[in-house]
Amino acid sequence: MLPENISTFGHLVDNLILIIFVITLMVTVLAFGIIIYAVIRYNRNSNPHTTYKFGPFISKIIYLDAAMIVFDLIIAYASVSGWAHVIMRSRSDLISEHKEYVDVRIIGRQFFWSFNYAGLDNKMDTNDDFIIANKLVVPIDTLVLLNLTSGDVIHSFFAPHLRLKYDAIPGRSMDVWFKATKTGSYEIACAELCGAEHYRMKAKLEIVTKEQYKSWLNERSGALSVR
Amino acid sequence: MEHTIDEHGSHGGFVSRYVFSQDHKVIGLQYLITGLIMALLGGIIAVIFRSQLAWPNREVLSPEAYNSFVTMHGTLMVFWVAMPVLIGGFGNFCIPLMIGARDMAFPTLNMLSYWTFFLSSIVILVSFFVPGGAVSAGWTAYAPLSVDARFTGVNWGMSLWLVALILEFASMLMGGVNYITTIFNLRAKGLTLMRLPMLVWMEMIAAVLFMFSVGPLIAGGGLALLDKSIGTHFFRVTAEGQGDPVLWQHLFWFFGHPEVYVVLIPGLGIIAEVITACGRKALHGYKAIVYSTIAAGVLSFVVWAHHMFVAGLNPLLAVGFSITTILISIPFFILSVAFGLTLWGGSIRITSSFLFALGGYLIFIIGGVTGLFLGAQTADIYLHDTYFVVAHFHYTFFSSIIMGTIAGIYHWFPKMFGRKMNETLGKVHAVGTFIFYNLFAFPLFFLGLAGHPRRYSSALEYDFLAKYQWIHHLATGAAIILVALQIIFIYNFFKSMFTGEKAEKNPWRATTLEWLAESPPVHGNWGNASPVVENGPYEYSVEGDSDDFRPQGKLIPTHVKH
Repeated sequence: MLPENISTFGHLVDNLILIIFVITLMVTVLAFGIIIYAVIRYNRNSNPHTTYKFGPFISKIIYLDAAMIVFDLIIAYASVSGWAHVIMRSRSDLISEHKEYVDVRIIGRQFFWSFNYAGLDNKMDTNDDFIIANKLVVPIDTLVLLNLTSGDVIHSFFAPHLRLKYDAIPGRSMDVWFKATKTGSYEIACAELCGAEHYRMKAKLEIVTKEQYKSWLNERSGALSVR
Repeated sequence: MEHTIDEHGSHGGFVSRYVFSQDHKVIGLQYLITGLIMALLGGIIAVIFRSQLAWPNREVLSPEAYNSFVTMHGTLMVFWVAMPVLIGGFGNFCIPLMIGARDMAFPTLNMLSYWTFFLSSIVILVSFFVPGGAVSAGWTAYAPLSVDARFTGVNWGMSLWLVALILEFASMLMGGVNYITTIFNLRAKGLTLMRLPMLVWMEMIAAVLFMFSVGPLIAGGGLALLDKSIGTHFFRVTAEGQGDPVLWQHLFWFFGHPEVYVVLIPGLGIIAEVITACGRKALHGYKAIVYSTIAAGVLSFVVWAHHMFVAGLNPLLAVGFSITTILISIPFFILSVAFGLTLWGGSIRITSSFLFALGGYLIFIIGGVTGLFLGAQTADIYLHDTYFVVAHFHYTFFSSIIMGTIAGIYHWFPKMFGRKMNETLGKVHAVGTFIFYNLFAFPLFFLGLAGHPRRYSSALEYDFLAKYQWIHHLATGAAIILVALQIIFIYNFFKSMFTGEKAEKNPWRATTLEWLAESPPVHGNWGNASPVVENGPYEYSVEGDSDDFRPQGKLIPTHVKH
């Protein structure tokens, strides 16, 4: 059911979901099987009388609980290592690891997204910056640094195909990143209730080749300068 | 402590007996009935907005109205159904009877608690009809959307929502103080803490969790009211960047996570009572359940930020909150195993109450395991605020608030009204509710995996969602049938109240003390006698006994002071 993954870290999210799915499916099927068997086997008709002694509980639970703790550790490990890769890397670390990157400042507003590009010089707050609404165009295989904020209420930048979601909060600015692995046109949604038209606060995500991006940037930088 | 008899409500006329009553049983029923009416309302609201989701092109609701309906559904179900029914209703009705007391420790405070709650119910219902309509910022009321009328057009609705919430919390605090004092001071002779019926333990733990957690949110509600009315900026952000909306989230969820356990564990307590009485077997691992629930309660205070993984929390902090969240699976796992071992080897009477308890137990397991997906912070990047969350909390809440509550009603109905409910109708109701609930809620997990964000009044705007519109059709259809099925219950409830089969004192042959009282119990509960406890709470089918249960205690005549 998951949409196609087009980011370099998407598999970390997908694999974690798969790991948890396998573990919880096992636990649930086992539990349901035992419970339903117990109700059939030990109902009044098939087991009219019951006697039992009060035995210790701990001896029965200890292995099951140990198994559950192991499952928890597996999930926690996979989750924390994914988190360290996706969220915990600072902007400066990411920049030092990559030669080229695209810098985009995203401002959520009721009910549209504005994407502020650094322009040809790749520096924010200079004369060649430009803004476009509801369309994020980025090159494939390139580090994209996003800086999120909001002009009014809390929004949440959600690109399902990138497996990326992060809130845009007024008064705060927050950094996330991604690297796309496939060209094409995808959708960006708002994932935090932001008012009446929350359900249609959408944007296009266009992943293009590096050459296409370069010519698009040249075209835009001349045409739509705002400062 | 010996309690002298003052038969609350036995003097005076109809009004002081049944309206402004101080009798815990009358107050319990008042809470229960008010809560069930609100549940019906919450269900009807859900059916209306689910119709909008299934047929967005017909515009059943405007986007503004859709948001209001979703918000009010959540608000009503958590604060005006779960709390009054599970805490106010079963807590009030069952605690004094189960511990052998004649009433709550503070009967007047108890009456005040209900009428404060009643007032809060009026305020929240009135908020539908004020200019601008009811609050539409979600039941979590995230600032600044909620505290500034510019963003939603809702003004009075939000103020009334905050006032109603604060009143409701005050009412539940009065109840909680009463429960804790009563349980600690008015237990029958011989009733040690480790002999308490599990429901009493659960109500006590819930009351403690609520008392420790609600303060910050009441304060937060007050601050939000100031933001709205006199223009402070605790949660609003000014042009200069002052004020912090994330603070509201911290205050809300510091309360919110313990709160979900407040409404979960009394339901589990009811399930424990029902499966032991119907299974004719002791609750396995009684102490393990008690300690696990306390552990889960303590842990619930250090998991709140798992609601905020993608809200710009310090990433390192998210690691800690994720680990505490995943750890909470362990106490609930122990509890679930204990319930399973209780069923194993029993001699189960399959009654309506048992079917509801069993259904609640199974639904709770699904709710529990799906929490792991959301507690793991990396998976939560994707699943946060999608239908996966909606499905998960419906599974946890429904297990307790609906299945647990209804199991409890079928179980204690004879004690409440002196008559039994119709079992055939009850079983149809139980099986139907279980099937159609799952048909409604389970597909929502798939919507969540597909990336469908919650609180969208239409999914057709997005290409990646439009192809899953059939899931909305399925869920809406099942939800309509689920709500319609409750007509059977309403009919059964009122019909049985007047014409049901007369019930003796102990129709289920259960052990706990409430079954020693008359059905329904007189004012003061025990007449000219007092219960004395001799056994543990669940001594069913003890080896060597001729009967298959040992009542927890017996009634000893006492001198009555009037």
